[in-house]
Amino acid sequence: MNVDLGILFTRPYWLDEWHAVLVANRPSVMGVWSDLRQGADFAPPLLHFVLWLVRVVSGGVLAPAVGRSVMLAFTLGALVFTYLVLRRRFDRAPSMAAALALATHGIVVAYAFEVRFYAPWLFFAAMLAWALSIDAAHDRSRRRAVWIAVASAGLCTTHWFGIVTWFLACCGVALALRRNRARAVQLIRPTLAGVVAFVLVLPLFLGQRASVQEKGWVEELSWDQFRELGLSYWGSWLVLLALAGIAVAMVIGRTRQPTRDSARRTVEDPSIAALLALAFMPVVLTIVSTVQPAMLSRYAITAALA
Amino acid sequence: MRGLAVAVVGFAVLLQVGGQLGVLRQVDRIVQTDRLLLREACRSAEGVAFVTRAQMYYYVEEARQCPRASFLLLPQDALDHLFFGPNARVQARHRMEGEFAQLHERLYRFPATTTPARLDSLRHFVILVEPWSLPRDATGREFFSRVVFPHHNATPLNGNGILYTRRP
Repeated sequence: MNVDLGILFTRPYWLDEWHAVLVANRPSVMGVWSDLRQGADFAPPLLHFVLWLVRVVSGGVLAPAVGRSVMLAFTLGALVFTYLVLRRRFDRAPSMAAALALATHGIVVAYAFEVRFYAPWLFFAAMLAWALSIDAAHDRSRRRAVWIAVASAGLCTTHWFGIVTWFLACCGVALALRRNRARAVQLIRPTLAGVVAFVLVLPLFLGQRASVQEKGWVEELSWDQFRELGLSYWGSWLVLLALAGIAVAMVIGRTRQPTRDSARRTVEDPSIAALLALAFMPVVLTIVSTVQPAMLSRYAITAALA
Repeated sequence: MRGLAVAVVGFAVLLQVGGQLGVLRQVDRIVQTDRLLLREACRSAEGVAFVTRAQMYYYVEEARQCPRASFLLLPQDALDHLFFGPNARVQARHRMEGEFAQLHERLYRFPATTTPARLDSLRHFVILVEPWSLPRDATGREFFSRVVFPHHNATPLNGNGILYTRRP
């Protein structure tokens, strides 16, 4: 059987990728910023800065194989962070199964091999959850605060909806630690670096909005869109299988109490709660879509982490 | 049991990657066919134009080396005739494509843009257009040809292309 994996990396860029690559081909970082402000791509600048740097380091040309390898590295990084988050609470095998489950989602696999924002977005969301779990036994940790700040800033400057992911993750943390407000504040405070970074790149958003008269390429909100988006993330066979397994364990006499105790401890873990809260990405996108249509599966990619 | 669960999930990952490979191979076959068509058109036709950037940007290198290749800016009256009723929402996408093409042309000198009026003055030219970007009925190509290039005869080519020849 001839399995040619090369096409995943070496095929020519397509339209969406060119939107990022053309910007990253500018000689200077200021050129990248200027192009984005003029609407050359509809996104915050982090992906373009990363690609610009990779291009400079790799000899001045951003070959498809190089660009896509970087995206695959981001996706694998997201898997590793997910594993590390879960490993703190679960054994090796279930943690590995859950991390791999992330890569059973079609959108995740597709964007692991595309030079777009989605792989880095996933990466920073998983990184934020992991950062929340650093030095969990300590009330204060400078190391943790720095990692949380970096992940939040990355999250909010990768995609304009990164701020939605940030918001949901913070909601998850706040809910998990509702009985321990001081700790919740300790964890959420460094995430404000994401908001600061978002505000700093906001001029790009305004420039991009002003650059075209047509204000979007996504169709108006409809029930079908919501159903499709919901099914895409909540209706995958793996999610349903896992939920069914948990439900069965919760009603069978011998496993009922341990499963319930484990479930309670799990949802009270702030880093896992941050991941679980991302299941609501499709709901938030639906609300956003009442103002600006945004019902595309890829815009909810971080829901796969839930 | 736990090892089995990991193996099942791992297998599901492989299936997903395999599915993605299948999709990319299908796209690649279309791209290869249309690439040959584009090269031939660049050699022999007086003009070559793309209706969508999604199709055109697969051939950035070729199109940059082909001074005759350009992106077709459909004017509003053509869009009104092509997409109406429930299809009218497609107009916005074409307008936005046109805006992006002009923005990229200004910033990167790619793609060059053209209009139906400019192509209308040529004796023969090739339009590269995928069926999904045309009006959604069985006669999408014929309808497009009638509305946008009424003075030319349309001949479907191998791949996603139409040859237009000026009527005598």
